Amino acid sequence: MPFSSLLFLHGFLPLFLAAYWLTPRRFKNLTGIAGSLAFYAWGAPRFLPVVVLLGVGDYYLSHAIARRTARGTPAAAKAAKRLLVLGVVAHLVLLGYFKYSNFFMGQVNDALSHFGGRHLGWVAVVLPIGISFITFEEISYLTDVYRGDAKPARSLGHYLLFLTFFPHSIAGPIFRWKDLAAQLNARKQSFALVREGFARFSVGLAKKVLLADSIAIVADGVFGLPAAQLGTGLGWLGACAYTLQIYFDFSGYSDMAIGLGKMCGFTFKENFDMPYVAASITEFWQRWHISLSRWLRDYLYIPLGGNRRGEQRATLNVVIVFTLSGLWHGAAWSFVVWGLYHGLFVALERVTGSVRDRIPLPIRHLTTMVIVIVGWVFFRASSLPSALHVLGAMAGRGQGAPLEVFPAELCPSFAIFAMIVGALVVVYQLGIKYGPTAPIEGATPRPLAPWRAALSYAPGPVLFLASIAHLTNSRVAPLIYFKF
Amino acid sequence: MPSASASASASRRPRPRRPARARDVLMVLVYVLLVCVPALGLAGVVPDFRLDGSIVVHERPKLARASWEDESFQPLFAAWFESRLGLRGTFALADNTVLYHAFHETKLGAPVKLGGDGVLLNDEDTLYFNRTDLPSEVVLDAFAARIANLQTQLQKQGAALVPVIIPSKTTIYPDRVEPKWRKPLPSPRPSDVAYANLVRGLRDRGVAFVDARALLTARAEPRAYLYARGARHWSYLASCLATQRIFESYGALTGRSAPSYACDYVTRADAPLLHEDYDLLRLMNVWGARPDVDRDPVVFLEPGPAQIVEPVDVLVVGTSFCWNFLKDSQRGAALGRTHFFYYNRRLFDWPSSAEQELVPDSPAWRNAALGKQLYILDLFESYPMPRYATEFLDQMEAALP
Repeated sequence: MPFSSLLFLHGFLPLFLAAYWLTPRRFKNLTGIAGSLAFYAWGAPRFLPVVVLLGVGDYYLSHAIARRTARGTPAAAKAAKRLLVLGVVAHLVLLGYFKYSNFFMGQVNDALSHFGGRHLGWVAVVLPIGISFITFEEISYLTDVYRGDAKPARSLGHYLLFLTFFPHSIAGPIFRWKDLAAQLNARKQSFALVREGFARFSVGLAKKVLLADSIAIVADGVFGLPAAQLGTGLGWLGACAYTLQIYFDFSGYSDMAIGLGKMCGFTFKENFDMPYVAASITEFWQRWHISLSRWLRDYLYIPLGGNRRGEQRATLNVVIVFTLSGLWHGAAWSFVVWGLYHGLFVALERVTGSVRDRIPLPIRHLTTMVIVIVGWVFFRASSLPSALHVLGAMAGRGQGAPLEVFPAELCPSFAIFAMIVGALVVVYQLGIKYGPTAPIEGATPRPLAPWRAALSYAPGPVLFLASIAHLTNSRVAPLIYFKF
Repeated sequence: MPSASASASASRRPRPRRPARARDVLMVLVYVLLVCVPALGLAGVVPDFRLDGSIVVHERPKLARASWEDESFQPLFAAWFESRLGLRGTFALADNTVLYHAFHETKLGAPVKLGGDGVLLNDEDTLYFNRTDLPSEVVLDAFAARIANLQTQLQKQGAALVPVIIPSKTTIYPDRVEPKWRKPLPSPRPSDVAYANLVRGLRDRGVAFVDARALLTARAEPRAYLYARGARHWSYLASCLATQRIFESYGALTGRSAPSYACDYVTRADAPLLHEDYDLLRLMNVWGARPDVDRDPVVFLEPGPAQIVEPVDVLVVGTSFCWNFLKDSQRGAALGRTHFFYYNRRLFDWPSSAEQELVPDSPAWRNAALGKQLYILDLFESYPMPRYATEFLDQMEAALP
């Protein structure tokens, strides 16, 4: 049940919020768990027991780890480490089975075909929704408890709510136990927070429904074209469209998650910080899917040695982390290449740091944007050969045969308009980054005059209304009646 | 009892100012209404605008453990839920209106496409206009041969089979198909080639047929009188002009006196929007769409009686384009016992409109199909060599001695 579905917006959301707000404070977590389990049961009923069992297992494992680390003896520390490894490996095995076994078997069968062998029988495994995010959250929880960075969950209920809380369980942000533990014990609930939550949710919904889904028409159209029909202009148009689509889609989803959290009194960390204003790929990753970048830094890059083993090893670690990050995004070679591609550029920036700084800023922005756009082609294309076709077209090697689709269906005016709005948003963000209105860190924002404050509330409901109108219309398809 | 210092610190604690809190409460209320009001539509308590066109009705699925677990229940429930939401019509109209007025577009995938000068086109016609995978000359020739064969067989029994080539709206308004709905194709376009091949095939075999495409494109009347700008189908006038030719062919094939069918008409600028000639306009479901289109004069045939010699028993096989013929036939009582095989799937008795599923070779089928004096086979241009026609030919060939 995506947040941008009418069933969620007009069915699940009002029912859940009514139940949550009416529940006495001390039972709110229980309502949160019940709602989240119901939400998960709707989308992946067969995997609900798996998720709950994993949660229960983690809870007891974390307490076992904490007890051993608390003893402080080398033997206990060793035992705690063994338990941590057990937990992490178990989660990775499960993730590997659900997410990568189809890919792996596909590769094995391709290899067998290549050498004239027979395909191995294999029943495709269904990927449970949110498994990638849940796995990372579980690993970070166990690791933080082992490192002593966080105390284990006070109750199983707290942990289950952390793990399954529906605003983040499908597409992030990736939570960390230590960021949320205190809020699970006590959190504020106020009309101001609920209003802010709805406003943020509305912005996210509009990003997703009005911008991303409209722009997706262009991106899907171009990436769906046969290679022969792709010309240079269309290739770039499709890549730029996807660049905007994925940003507004993903950041919109994060906005909705943060907004839903606020409606329930939670404050989630930001997941996006104007990523397309980055002047380098390194900066891009500090602004894009921040919760993932930080997770990879803390639970993969640093354990691999981080910067501690010399510059060469650190550079290699960067490439490894990004390549694995690509694989985490999807079980296909195109994702691995996308991760490797970004890793190589980040590594290059490490090596050429001081030289890069001498390049004029506009050129740095431009090159960063081009690198990001080209990278998204690997991410969006259905396969590696397909990505290479699009990139070939972008490089001027497309055949550009006459289109088999109508221009009106490939690039409807409203989709082009959405692209222009999306591009203007990025330009506006550049203005925020470099303009005189850039917020000064630590400064208290000046309170708005009452009329301006009232006016600032208006966009939320307007965006919400426009989004549900567009969403509703997309689900209505009147047909011509025969003439009676 | 609270201490003095405690109460002092409490009084110092910043509290939200009253207007700000009131604004927050009000805004939350607004959002709650936005979320809840459509849901109240499930109880049928939300007034709404009606959308034009027929909308698929979704039944509420029955919940069962198996259908829940295999996730087949969820999409059916979601479809039912969405179909019952309140303000659905209002939201759809508002969204379409923005698309139309701000972007001069209809919703992606909508059946109505905007042509130039306010001409509305149906997606089937724009698709046909751009098709390249049309039946070849050989295939169309074989199709014409089958028609010729049945026409000969029926003629031996004193009956007439009259095929009618009904033009697509894009044929009448080729210049109004906007570039964005036009694929670059060689001239003549494949659709024109297919039409020419069919006509040649029919002529080569001596088939008596009505080429309404040639008839209508040669007429001097404004095109909007033959095919209204906001209509899906041809007008009553166009249908009447074709009917004249049909009866002429009927007379020539059977040697009977054919009804003389008058097509005198008047135009009226005050026709209600519910008139058939505005059906695509209404199907757009837009507020304030092209007021000049819905003020286009509508053609009304004069009610004067046709000089009927003898009512003709008719079977009509084809598409919704035949409704105009059937409805207009009541004007002069030209038709006797009449049936309509709608897409060769539904059987209509005319003029009672009693409807049933068409089962080939069943008693009802035999009653409707056999023993008629005139068989009209609708060959709507946008459906080249339609399946309903080939099936009908199969069934008649099997049924005739």
